[in-house]
Formats: sequence, C-alpha cells, structure tokens
Amino acid sequence: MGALRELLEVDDLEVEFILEGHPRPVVSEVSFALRKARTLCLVGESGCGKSVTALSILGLLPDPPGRITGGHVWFDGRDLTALTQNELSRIRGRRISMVFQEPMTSLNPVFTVGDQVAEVYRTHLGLGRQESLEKAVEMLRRVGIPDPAQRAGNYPHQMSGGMRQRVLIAIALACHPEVLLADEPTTALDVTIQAQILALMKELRDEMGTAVLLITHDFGVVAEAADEVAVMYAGRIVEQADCDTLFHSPWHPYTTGLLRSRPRPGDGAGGKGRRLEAIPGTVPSPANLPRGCSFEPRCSRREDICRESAPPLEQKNGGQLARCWIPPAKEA
Amino acid sequence: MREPLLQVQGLKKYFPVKGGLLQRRRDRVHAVEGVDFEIRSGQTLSLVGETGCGKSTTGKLVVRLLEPTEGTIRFRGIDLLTLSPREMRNLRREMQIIFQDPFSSLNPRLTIRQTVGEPLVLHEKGSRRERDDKVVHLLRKVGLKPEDRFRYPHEFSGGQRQRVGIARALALNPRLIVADEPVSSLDVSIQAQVTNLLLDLQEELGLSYLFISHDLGLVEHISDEVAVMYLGRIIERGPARSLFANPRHPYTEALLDSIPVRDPRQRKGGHRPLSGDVPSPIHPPGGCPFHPRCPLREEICTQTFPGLFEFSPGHIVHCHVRGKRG
Repeated sequence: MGALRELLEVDDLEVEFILEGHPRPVVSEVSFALRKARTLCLVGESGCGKSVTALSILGLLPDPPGRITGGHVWFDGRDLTALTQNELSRIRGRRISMVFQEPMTSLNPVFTVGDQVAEVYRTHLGLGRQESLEKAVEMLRRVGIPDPAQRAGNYPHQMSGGMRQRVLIAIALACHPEVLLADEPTTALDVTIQAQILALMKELRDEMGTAVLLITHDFGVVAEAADEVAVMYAGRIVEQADCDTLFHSPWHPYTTGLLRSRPRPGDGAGGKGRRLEAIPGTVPSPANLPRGCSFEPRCSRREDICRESAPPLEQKNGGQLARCWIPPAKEA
Repeated sequence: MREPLLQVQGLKKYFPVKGGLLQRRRDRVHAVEGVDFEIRSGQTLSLVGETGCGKSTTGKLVVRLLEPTEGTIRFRGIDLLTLSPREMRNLRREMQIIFQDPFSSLNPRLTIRQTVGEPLVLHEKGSRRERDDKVVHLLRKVGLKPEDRFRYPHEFSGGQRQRVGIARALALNPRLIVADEPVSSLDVSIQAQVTNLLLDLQEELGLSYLFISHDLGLVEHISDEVAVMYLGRIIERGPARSLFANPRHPYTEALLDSIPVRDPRQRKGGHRPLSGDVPSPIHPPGGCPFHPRCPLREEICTQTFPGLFEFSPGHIVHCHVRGKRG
C-alpha cells in the first residue's frame, strides 16, 4: 500500500462553519492520502463532515459560512488551500474532478448532454467545436451510453437518472483527471443501476489510473468498492484501515456499531422478532460536542477516561488507525 | 385459516398525461397494472421494486388516498370502494400511513401535541384532558418524552420526527399500517432504532404492515411475505425466506444480485447484473413487461403476460420460461 504513489494528500484539515453566529468545528484533524488507481471510501452519517472535506479539497466550500482554518491539501507539490480561485479553476475539472449525488440537478437543463461534455474539452484543452463534440460522443460511449451519437443531442430531462449519472461521470473523467472525488454518486439510484455505476467507475479507474475518493453512508457500497476506508464521526476520522481489516476486525465501537446495525441475511422472516443492534442516541451537534471522546455518550464501551479526554488517532494492533481509549473486548 | 385482514384484487391505477394547447389527455401512465395480494393479521407484506414500479401508488390506493381505476380492496371483508365518504372515514381509523420524509410530513406550525392529537380531535369525542393523556401515552410508546409534546418539529432530528409520525399513525389504534419507505431517509444508526420500534409495536399491538421499500436487506429482515413489482405488476410473490433463498423470476434474481455485498471478500469481480433501464410506464412493453431486459426471453414473452405459476405453497411467479420448466 505504501509503495503506491500518493497523488493527493490531505494533512490535518480543519474546517469551521459559522452556526448561529459562532464558529463551530465541523472537520478536525482529518488526514488521508489518495493513491493511483485506488479507492478510498470516506464513510459516515449525515453531518459527519465527509462532504465538507471533499468540498474543501477543491476550494468549493461556501464561504461564509464555511472556512478552512488549518491544515493543507497537497497535490503535485502545491498546497491547494493556498491557491487562488483562479489557480484552482485550472486544476478543477481537468486534474481533479468531482461527481455529486444528485444527477437531476447537476446538469444544465438548457444544453444538450453532448454540449455539456464537449464544454470540458473546449474549456480545458482548447479544442474546437467539431473536435470537442466528437470527443464528447466517444466519452459517452466509454461510460456505456447506447447510441451515443444520437443521445448526445438529448437534453438532461430526456434521460433516466442512471443515464444522467453516466453523463456526469463522462464530464468528470473527460480530461482523464488524476483524482476523482465522488460524493454519494449512487445514493439517488436504484440498486440495479447502482451496481452498473459502481462497476463502471471501477473499470474507468483501472483504465485511467485515477485515484478515487468515494464518499458514502452505505457500508454495502464500501464493501463493493473500497480499497481503503476512513470512518468519520462528528468531524473526525475515528477509524482508518484497509477494507478487509475494517470489515473483519473493526476497532472503534462506532464502526462495530454501524456494521452490526445492518440487517443480516437469514435473520429475517423465520427469525422475525429478532431486533437489529441499534446504536442508541444521536450524533452530537457541532455546537455542543462532548469534552472528551465525541462518541462517548452513545458508546457501550465507555469508561471514565472517555469523558475526560479525547483519544488521539493511533495505530492499533490490527494494523488499523483508531481513535479510542478502550480496546474491543474479546466477543463471541 | 382465518380471513385475511386485507385483500387486494386486480388493482389498477392509470394517471392521465396531459399536453398540448387545451391540456387534453394524450396518454396514460400505467402506474399499477392489475395487482393481487393479501395481508393477514399481525403480518408484514413488503412491496419491493425500483423507482416507478408502482409500489408507492399501490400503498396509497390501499388506504384510498388515491382512487383506483379498477379492482377491489377488501378490509376485514368490507369492500372499501363501495363505501360512502363517511363510512370510509370511520374505517380509515383502522388503516394508517407513514411516509418516507419526516421533514415534510409534519406541519411545522403545530406542536407535537397538536400533530399527534389531531386524529383524536377529528375522530374521537373525549375531553381535552383525555386527549392529552393519550398523547403522552403515545409518545412514551414510540420512545419520546412526555414533555416533547410542547415542542415543534424543527426541534427534532429525523429519527425523532419519524417517531412522531408513527405516534400519530397509532393514535386511533389502527390494525393496518402502510409504511412507505419509513426509514429510507434516516441515518444508518437511526434506521435500526426505528425498524426495531416498528417490530416492537407490531408484536405488542398485533399490527399488520404493508411495508414499501427498495432496501432489500431490510425487507428480508422484517417481512413475512414479499412481493416484487416491475412496471406496475407483481411478477413474483412469496414467503420472505423462500423468495430470498430461491428467487424464480429473472428480474428478482437480478435485483437480489444487485444488492451490494456485505463483506469485501464476497465481491463478484466486475460482472454487470442487469443492463438497461426500466422502460416508460406510459408505453410499457407488450407481453411480459420485463422481456426487453430479460436474459431468458423467448418468442412468447413478447406476446402475452405470463399467468401465475405456483412453485411452493404461497410462492408464485409470473414467467413463461420459469413456469414451463418448473
């Protein structure tokens, strides 16, 4: 894993939001690296800071209310957090690009999809009209749109959600970016279409050697797509490991809780009456974070120390990084 | 065997598609195209399928929030479609619906006491005091605190709002609850809490659920019976265990195959389970609606909708090819 080149490194990122007049930390001490042809999944529940992290990388954070207050994003020897919007716009879409959750609203309704893909070539590579349109059709073919020459003339509303998400992926990958940030790219899609899109993203990643940051709340997507996983809770990474380690020997009680709260096959019907293992309570608000470990109020493993001081993210004996004072008990 | 609580037969719903200068009806969306099922007391039937398959429309038809185009709905043996509005209103106390979005299904200007108590005001006489006691009782039942009744929806998280929605649905002691994606918009850790609450309430109150969901993992966990819908039709139905262990319809197989793996060690290595998109319900394909995407397609599939074949007791499928070979 360490042998693979790091294309992008997030180093100790801190982001604050002004909430009801007060600056509140929404991302703290977040560090990770994206590597060539590998997928890192950033997983967590709403409000954990995973999307804010991705937006910060590209300088897309709405300011106000958001502001990067610390840390660096290293890409090609430069710190992206120190660049001007103008400098960033030369990197965005060309060397680092992004796919969002909502394929219905991310496309411009008054231009054909062919035009919207072609625009990338015109803007970033300075190609002419005819040539950029030809390349756009080729890119639409690459993302599996049938009859691409004809579909290029369609407007977004004439396409299904799955087809639109393919168009967004075509736009994102048109310039063969080194890094792709995908924020819940399959959440709005049906399972059969989700399977198609995940397979497509993997195929193109392998072909182009793209480093992928995949943001999701769904451990099924993680199990399908991740090489490495970082679990976020209340703005911090609480556990980070390779995918197999995370699923088979999770260290942090939050990771364990999320994995256990999923229904298990074979539990159903005949096993009805069996309850899911829920995590009690709710995520704390950034305005009201506990003094010690932010998961402490919901934690089944908590002890006195957890209330008093926040644990650091440190290497544990299974090879994972975790932010927890108390080792998991040997459970049956 | 006792009579089912709910019996639905030949249910159809078409929506007009209007267009042109005078907004004349130009076409019809075939949202529900002849659906049959039953739910017994204390049992859960889940309707599953992709966006636009007609599962939510079916749920709304059952409680008559929409008027069916054709078909019959019997609740406790009573044919709902012959009832007067007044009779229907009385019977509706026994059938309630919970919606997906806990953010838009509560009135932001009403306190929780008003929201949960509203059905009591509408349907039951009772004094103010009695209603208040009942609201407290309902909030306790769904895991909220009595003092929460003085608060407004925006003060609650998504999971808590969904609990409020459930408390409101329970106010009139219903026997059937139509739950339309009740946990889909909630966070993973909260989904498990609300799912457990629904299971607890079912056990305690003997409720029947018509559970509408696209989350097959969850459906397997909570259902007695499962019906798979595609383009307005049920193409396979059976006891949950049998259907998940032995899916017979090629669409059900593809759907189950698309569920993400639970464990990275089970990855299937890049195969694509099902190609193409669901066709438009305005002009659904003739014959079996799945035939354009079906790997088993034969000549006959393009011509007639397949009849019902029963594989094991209660496990039925509509498929020419699988029906023939058994």
